[in-house]
Amino acid sequence: MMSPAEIYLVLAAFLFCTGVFIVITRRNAVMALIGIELILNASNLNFVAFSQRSPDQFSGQMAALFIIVLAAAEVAVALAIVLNVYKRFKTVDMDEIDTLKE
Amino acid sequence: MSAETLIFYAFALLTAGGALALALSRNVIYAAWILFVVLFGMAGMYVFAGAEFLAVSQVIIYVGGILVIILFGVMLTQKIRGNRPRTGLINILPGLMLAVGMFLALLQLIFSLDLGPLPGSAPRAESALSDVSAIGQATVTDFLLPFEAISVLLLAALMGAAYLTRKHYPASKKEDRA
Repeated sequence: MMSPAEIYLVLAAFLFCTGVFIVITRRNAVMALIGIELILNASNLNFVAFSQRSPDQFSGQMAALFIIVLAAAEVAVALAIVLNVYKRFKTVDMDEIDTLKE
Repeated sequence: MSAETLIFYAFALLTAGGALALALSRNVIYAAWILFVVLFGMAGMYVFAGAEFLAVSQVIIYVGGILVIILFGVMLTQKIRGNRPRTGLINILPGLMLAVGMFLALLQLIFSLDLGPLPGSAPRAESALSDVSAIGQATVTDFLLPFEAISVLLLAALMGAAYLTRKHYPASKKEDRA
């Protein structure tokens, strides 16, 4: 039987690998963004799990909070770029978007 | 096995199962909703790790903000009517090999770790039911500089996103006004 701390770490590793799999295999740019969100959340879970080891300090939780804010900024800018790409190329398939200039 | 342990395992299973469904899903809209399940399950895991404030932030920011933006992104970049918003797959075999290989390597690392409490760390006071005040104090003392920096970064990123998606007015309009 796994201890709770190990469950956190195994779950984070699983989420991370799932996110990498999604980023590599999906052609849709929005889907790749979802994979990146999974990877960021896996790192958050690790931070929280390890912050349990010293419950009187909050460095791990603060790092996780900052990552959440960074993820919000990242997804806003990324989707703005995706919308512009869609306006110009009429597709969000990352295989077909291979030009820097029309 | 107590009810608390059962709920903990239920949240862990919800998160892992959601991630698996996400990896298998080809419909982008379904994937966005499954991401909701995964993020919610992770918020439950945060509660069991003693990070209640983080759990609430996760639900508010991720589910209330990021997920809505992702859904907007899906719906603005797909022709929903007629064909279903499916995504193509590439590199399945290399992706699967990389993911499984990394997972096994990480498992080996995790099970070789010593995960007891750190020497010299005090357990949290029993009276502290919530960690909100402690996190608030940490934000304005030890983490003030990163906090201010990330505020500026978030402002700049949101302004940049709004600028990127602005409506393009014809250039002659400015000359008319002059």
